[in-house]
Amino acid sequence: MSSFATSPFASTSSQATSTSLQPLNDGEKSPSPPTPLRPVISSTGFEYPAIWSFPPFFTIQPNPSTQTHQIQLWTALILSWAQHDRIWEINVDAADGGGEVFWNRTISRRLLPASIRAVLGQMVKDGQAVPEPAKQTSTYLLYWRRPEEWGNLIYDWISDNGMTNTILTFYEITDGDLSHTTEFREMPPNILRRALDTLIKKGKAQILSGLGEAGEGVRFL
Amino acid sequence: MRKGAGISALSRHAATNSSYSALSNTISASQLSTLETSLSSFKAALLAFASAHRDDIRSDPAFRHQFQKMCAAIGVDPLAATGSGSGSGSSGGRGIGGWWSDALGLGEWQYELAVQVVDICVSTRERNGGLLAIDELVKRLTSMRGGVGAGVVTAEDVSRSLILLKPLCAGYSTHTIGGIKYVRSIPRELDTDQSLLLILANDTGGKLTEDTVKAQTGWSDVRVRTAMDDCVMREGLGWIDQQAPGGRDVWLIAAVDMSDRDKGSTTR
Repeated sequence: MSSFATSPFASTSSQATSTSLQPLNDGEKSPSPPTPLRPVISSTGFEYPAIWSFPPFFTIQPNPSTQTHQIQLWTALILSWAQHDRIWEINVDAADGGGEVFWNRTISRRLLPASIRAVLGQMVKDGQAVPEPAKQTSTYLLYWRRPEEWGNLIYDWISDNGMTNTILTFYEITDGDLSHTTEFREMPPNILRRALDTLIKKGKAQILSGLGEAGEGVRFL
Repeated sequence: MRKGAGISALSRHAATNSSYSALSNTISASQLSTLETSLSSFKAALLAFASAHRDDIRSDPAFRHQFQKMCAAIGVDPLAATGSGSGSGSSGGRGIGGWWSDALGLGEWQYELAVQVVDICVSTRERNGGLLAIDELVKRLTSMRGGVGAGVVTAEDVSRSLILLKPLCAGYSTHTIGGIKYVRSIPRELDTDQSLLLILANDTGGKLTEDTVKAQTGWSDVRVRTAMDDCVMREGLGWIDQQAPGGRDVWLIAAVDMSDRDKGSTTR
């Protein structure tokens, strides 16, 4: 170990001088000056971490351990971005490249659809996203909260407002007058249904179908 | 002295010897007690100094380094003393290390720093392949310890902490490459080509293109490509950027100046 400290690096300096670093000629493009990478605030106020301005972040890394780390970073970034900007669903193949997070126009780097799929594939495995509808690879729901957490939030909200045993429509839960301050406002029905399913399993809710024009309703117990 | 003949000379000789040795015992005893007195007064003075300036020593790096220099000059190592003290302390025998660490807590401070250094090195290893510029490490340490207000840490403190880690044989070491000091947390050597790439990357904020590397080193295409590939695949020091205009760039993350706000920098 002590030889590590001396041999390779001691020879480095001589190597550096013996190969005599050539300054670039004027004709060639000189290397860009070091730019420190700092967080970026988006128009919606979301703070992108510094690594979002790091060009290689947008290339899936070939080194397996680097890649694992990179996908973890992407997962955390996608979920916090979705939560901040209230993005429920993304389309990987859409013209906007899936969403602002996947495309840093300042440095002209995109996480290409194939790479987004690689990240989403891991997120699906970890229960942080799900293809919707199933068995396709373009549109995904993002679970910045898992259905069970959503179910608990909704149930707490219902109990706090004394609405147990009341029948509510799906629309009233997510877009009603009372829910506009909740975190689950404007939640799409396909996520709401999964959240309610977790409550039904626990015997805390019942789905009542066919309430005329209002569609399905739910009663919390 | 005339050597007397007969039995009386023998006994006189023995008496002389014993009186000499008695005298020498007395002298060494008095010397020892003087030494003990001065040692204990020195200890008291050092103790008083250490406890009077304890906060300064912990918070002011310049003062801390002066103090460490002074200790080194008189042959006392506050860290080594603490180390042996805590080693034997459990069995009840608290030696010099005991009072030293009680008075100063510098050893504890240094160990705490070492643990934080390990934390940062391990948690960033997947990202940077175990090579971290010492300035970056200091920045992360400062934010981990709650900002500048919590006391300034310097590169020298980090180096001292790394010495503490030596017995663990985890391979933490510092290297100066191209005038910049790095902490390597993986016990594996960087070959000379990669060290040179690191020097080049330092001038560009981390970015290396095959053309510029070739122009600056005069290496063959194959050598450039192999060295860059090794950085990415073998060492995990480099990240590939396949969307670069000129083809394929490699960024050596240890040379990239990247920092987030205080939050998150310690969690990832």
